[in-house]
Amino acid sequence: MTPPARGSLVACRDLFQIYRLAGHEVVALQGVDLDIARGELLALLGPSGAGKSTLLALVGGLERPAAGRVWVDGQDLARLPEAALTAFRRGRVGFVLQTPARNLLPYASAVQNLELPMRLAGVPAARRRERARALLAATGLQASGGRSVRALSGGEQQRLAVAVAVANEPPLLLADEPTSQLDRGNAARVLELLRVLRDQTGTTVVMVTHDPEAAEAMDRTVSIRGGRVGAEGRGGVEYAVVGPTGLLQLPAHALEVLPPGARALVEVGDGPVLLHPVEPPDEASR
Amino acid sequence: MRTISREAFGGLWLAVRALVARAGLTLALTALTAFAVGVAAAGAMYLRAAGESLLQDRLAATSPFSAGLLVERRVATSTEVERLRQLLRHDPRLAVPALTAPLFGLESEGFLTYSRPGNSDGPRARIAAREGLCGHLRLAAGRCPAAGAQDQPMQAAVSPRMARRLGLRPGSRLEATTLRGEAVAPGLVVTGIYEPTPTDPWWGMRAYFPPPPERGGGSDPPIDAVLVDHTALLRELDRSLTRNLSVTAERALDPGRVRLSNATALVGAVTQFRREAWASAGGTRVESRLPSLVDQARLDRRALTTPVLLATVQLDALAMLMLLVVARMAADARAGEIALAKLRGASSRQAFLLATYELTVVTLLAFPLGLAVGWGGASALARVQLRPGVPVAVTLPALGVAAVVSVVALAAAALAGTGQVRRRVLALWRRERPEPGTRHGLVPELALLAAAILGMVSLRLGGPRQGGGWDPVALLAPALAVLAGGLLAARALPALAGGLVRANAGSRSLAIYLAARQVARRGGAALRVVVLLTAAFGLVAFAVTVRQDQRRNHHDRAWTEVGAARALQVRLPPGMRGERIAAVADPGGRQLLPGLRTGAAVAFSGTPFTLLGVDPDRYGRVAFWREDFAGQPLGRLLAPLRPTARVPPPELGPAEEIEVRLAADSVALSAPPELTAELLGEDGRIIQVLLGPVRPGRHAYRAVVGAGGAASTESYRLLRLRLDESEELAGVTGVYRFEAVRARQGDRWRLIGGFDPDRWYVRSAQGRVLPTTAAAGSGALVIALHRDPEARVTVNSAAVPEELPAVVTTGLLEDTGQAVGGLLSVRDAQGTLLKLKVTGVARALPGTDGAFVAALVDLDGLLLYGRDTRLAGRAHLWAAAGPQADAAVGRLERLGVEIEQDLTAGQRRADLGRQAPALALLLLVLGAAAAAVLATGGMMLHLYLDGRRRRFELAVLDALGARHRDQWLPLALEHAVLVGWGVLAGGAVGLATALVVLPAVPQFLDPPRVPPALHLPDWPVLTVGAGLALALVAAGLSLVVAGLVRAARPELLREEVL
Repeated sequence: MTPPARGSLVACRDLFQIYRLAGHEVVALQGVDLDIARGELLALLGPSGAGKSTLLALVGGLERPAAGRVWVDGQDLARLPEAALTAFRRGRVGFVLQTPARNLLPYASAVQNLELPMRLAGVPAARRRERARALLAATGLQASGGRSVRALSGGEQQRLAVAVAVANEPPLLLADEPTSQLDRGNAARVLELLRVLRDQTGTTVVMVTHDPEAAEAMDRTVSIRGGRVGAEGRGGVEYAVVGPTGLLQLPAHALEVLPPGARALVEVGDGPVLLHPVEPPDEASR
Repeated sequence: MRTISREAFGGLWLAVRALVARAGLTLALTALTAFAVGVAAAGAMYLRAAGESLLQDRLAATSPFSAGLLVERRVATSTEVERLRQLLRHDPRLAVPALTAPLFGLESEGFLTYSRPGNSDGPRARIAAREGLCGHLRLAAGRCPAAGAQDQPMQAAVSPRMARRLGLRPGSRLEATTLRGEAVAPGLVVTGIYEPTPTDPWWGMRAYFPPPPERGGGSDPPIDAVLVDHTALLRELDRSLTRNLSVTAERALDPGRVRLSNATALVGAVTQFRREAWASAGGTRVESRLPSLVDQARLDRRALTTPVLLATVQLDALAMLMLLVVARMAADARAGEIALAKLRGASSRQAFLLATYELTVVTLLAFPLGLAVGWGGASALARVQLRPGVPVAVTLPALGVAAVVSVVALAAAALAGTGQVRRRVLALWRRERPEPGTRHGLVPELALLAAAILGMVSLRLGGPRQGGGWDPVALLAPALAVLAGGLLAARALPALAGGLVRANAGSRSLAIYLAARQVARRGGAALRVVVLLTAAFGLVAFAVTVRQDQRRNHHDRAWTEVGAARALQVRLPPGMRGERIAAVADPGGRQLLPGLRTGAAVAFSGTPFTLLGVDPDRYGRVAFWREDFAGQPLGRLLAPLRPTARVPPPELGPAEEIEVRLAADSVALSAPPELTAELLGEDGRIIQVLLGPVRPGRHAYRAVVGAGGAASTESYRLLRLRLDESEELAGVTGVYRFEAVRARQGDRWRLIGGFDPDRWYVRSAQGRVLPTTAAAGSGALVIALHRDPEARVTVNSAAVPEELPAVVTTGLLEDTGQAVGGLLSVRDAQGTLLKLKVTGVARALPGTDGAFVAALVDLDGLLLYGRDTRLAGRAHLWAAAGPQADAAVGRLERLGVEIEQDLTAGQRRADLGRQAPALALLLLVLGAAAAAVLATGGMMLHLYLDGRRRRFELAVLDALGARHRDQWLPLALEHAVLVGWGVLAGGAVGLATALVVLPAVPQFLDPPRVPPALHLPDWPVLTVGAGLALALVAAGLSLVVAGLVRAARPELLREEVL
């Protein structure tokens, strides 16, 4: 198994995850290989059920993989004891979830929400207060510190959620569709906040999204299809990714020529690799 | 350590904020926990208070002096008196705070004979003195006696009886002589005439005022005491009354200072007192009923313990179930927060604390609240049921039990918290159900069901369990049964709903289909709440059924024991008989029932039983009767008791003296039999007149009728003549010829008649009719007793029945082995042999004070046959219920009847209601009702919380343009099915449990043998109760559904709101 690349914060190798649902098993991930560099802004793309959120849960230490390895900041999460995994979640990773209200205690104030992860981490009170003030300032919620979460708008709640997620200054921030329930303006502010965080603290951000505009704001996009990494995008260009067993997922527009089940001849030239759609002889004769 | 406390406080603010945010759930949780704590504490507090009440009842039923302490000692000199006084007053070892200071008195050992100077004959009475006499003596004339000068006659107060007998007035001189004939020098002088006040408790246990003797008794019993000053009598002790006096010291008990807590110490102190008093002055009599009273109170309390425990255990089991369900609901409500905390890296300990903090805070809040609720409930119950003024205190056991319940509540919280902490974050978010393998499955439920069935079977087969004591099966079986019933009902509901879905698949009714479908797919929380509701209403139905059953049986028992609405013992005006005065006051015969209740015994076995003589016609109209008492209608049962026409006993008319002419032959001169005449007075009394020993030859035997030979205008009838052996085993032998009877009034003798064999018959002491011969033409009756000497021979008027027809109880038949038509030989209270001919059998005879062994006969027959003189001048009277009967009793009083005892069936029923099982059942009913209200509240809360999650579904229907009815009706139907099923299934389970258990758990019922208990559900009460419960539940549901439908607006569909 290839070890994590130098400089990468997250490395997934041949990652498998299986769920048991209503009496049958669902393979959510089937051999994901992925490296994420420190300070990178990464968007995970893909259709519903592709395995994006599952990948996020594995990288965040919420679940253990059925097979494969996942390293975060040098720690092999699959082999970490439960207590260490909890400590990892406490200090090394922050989460922002899709529904703003789910990220926060609804009955607590903004400051109290901000202090909760620090309290769990045993941060002294003075430091907590100072850090909470700074985070509120960073998210533009200085005036809302004492207000109850219920009194905040959806956009404010999500910005507060981001602040809560980075309260313990984790090197990795995982966000699961953080802008999907926000209007364009609020979504933009949240994305800007993520970028500022990365720029100021070097936090690596991994964000699941369906929104192309949100994806464009990221340094890199990774498309997950059928539980595998299908493509990668950088600078507006999408690249197919060859898997460890040579598996290659064609981009959507190529599937019109080579639909699933079609046969192709692979011609490897000096530079390009060409795929020629063909019909096998026995089927042609029929 | 600092970290832990910081975390603890940090968690506390979160918990408090969460509690405030979820006010409804918090309120429900706090109420339930407080209820559980309160019930447990109330049980203990109530038990204590009820014990105190029973103790106070016991003490109140006894006079303070009787419950206190009596020290009595015969003394020779005043020095001895002083020594005893010093000991009792000042010895610290004898200090008992609950006993009042000793009240000293002196009295003569026996009776002195009093007379006017120069006349040696006079009445006998005690001479007595008591400290503080003048404060309690009610004077009719003159003044209270004082100490007087040493050589002057002793000043004395006498009663009107003494004054009448000796013609005394204030200033009269009086002489007194002791039993040994010694004169009390220097005599007495009357300073006052006092009115006897025997009911004044100040006289303590001293019986200085005996009731007036019966007229015709023939003897001259002692009369009211002569009361003198204490110092004067003490002085006389050293002179003429040496060794003739006793000193008494009485200490009354102050019941207000006796509590269960100090009763043991008090009894110990009294015992010590006795020991010390005995040691300091041998021969001293020390009496106190306190130890036995306290023992009785302890027994009462022990009898109360099991039923109260039974009620408390069942209520607490239900409360625990509620706690578990609601704790689970609370934990579910917090699933998102726990998940968030775990997501943020909370350790297991931190997550656990977060999960349990709220419930911990709730428990801490509920503890004092529960104690307050328990105290309030116990106080309210005590006010209704217990003796007024009995304190309800928060005792240590109550605190302990409350603490245990709180710990259990915390354990429930911890259990629910642990469950949440163990689940994965994603599972918590997704609200996944536990995997089938981890879900608590059928096994515990089957175990519970098996335990319930075993318990019920054991109860049924084990038969009644009398008295108190621990009986785990009886304690737990009913609660287990309703709980198991609840589980079955909850399991059956989805299946039934599934069937309804299939049945309505093609139906146009969307509402029924949707509602049934929702119920069919319900699980987890909803079914747990159904279990809770079923168990709560099951317990209510069980408790109400049992209590109603008990109340009805108490009613029947009270009425059977009392006999009718009221039972009176009355003192009749002179010359009046009970049946006569009843006929005057109630000529219609529907309001009053005169009768005579007396003790008797089966002749051969000696088994005591109650003999009741009544007018059969009036008995049928006035007395309580239940159809199952006899196998035939009451009228037919009583018909054979009605007297047939009899020859009346010969009437002497007004008589002062009676004469019997008797010729005797072959009479044993060494031990001649004694001849006695038994006369029937106008008031029904039977008077015995001793005519003297029979002498050989023909003689006229004469005796005075009436007391002291005073002129009498009372009319008598001759019932019988009696020949009794004069010495034991001497026997009555010889030939006796009874010739004639004469009576004298003034100077004139009148011939009453002879002894016609048609009008007289002779019986032996064993009830055998002895052969007689008639002396031709003379009207004389001849008895020859040669072969078999008899202990007693009676020559009876034909009016005296040879056999009394009687209706007897099954108990009497069982004891004698007789059958209907058989003859029972019994002896009345005076030993007279009666023959009862059994004409009917009843399982109970009202009016016999609940006797299992009793017989009912015609009153006239009993009076003629028996010789019960104890009730002379008195009568038993029963009165029907209602104003007409009260008016008849009023007429009785206006006719001069004095009511000595008045017992009503209502009072008796109230007394039964204050006994242990009834007290415990009331606790169970009220507790179960409160539990049902809370369970219903919990169900409503669940439905509301669940409904809030389903507002989206309603909003979608609204957005799709569904009719208003199609929105609320399925929801309302679904909720109504869940709640209605819980209420009705619970009611059915509780009722069934009660019907199975009722005959077998006398801890609830305290069933008497008479009358036999009936166990039939009180359908009207149960129906009204079920209707009321359903109406309340429907009202609550309407509010919930209306609130949900109002809140389900299409705006909800905006994602941001969701």
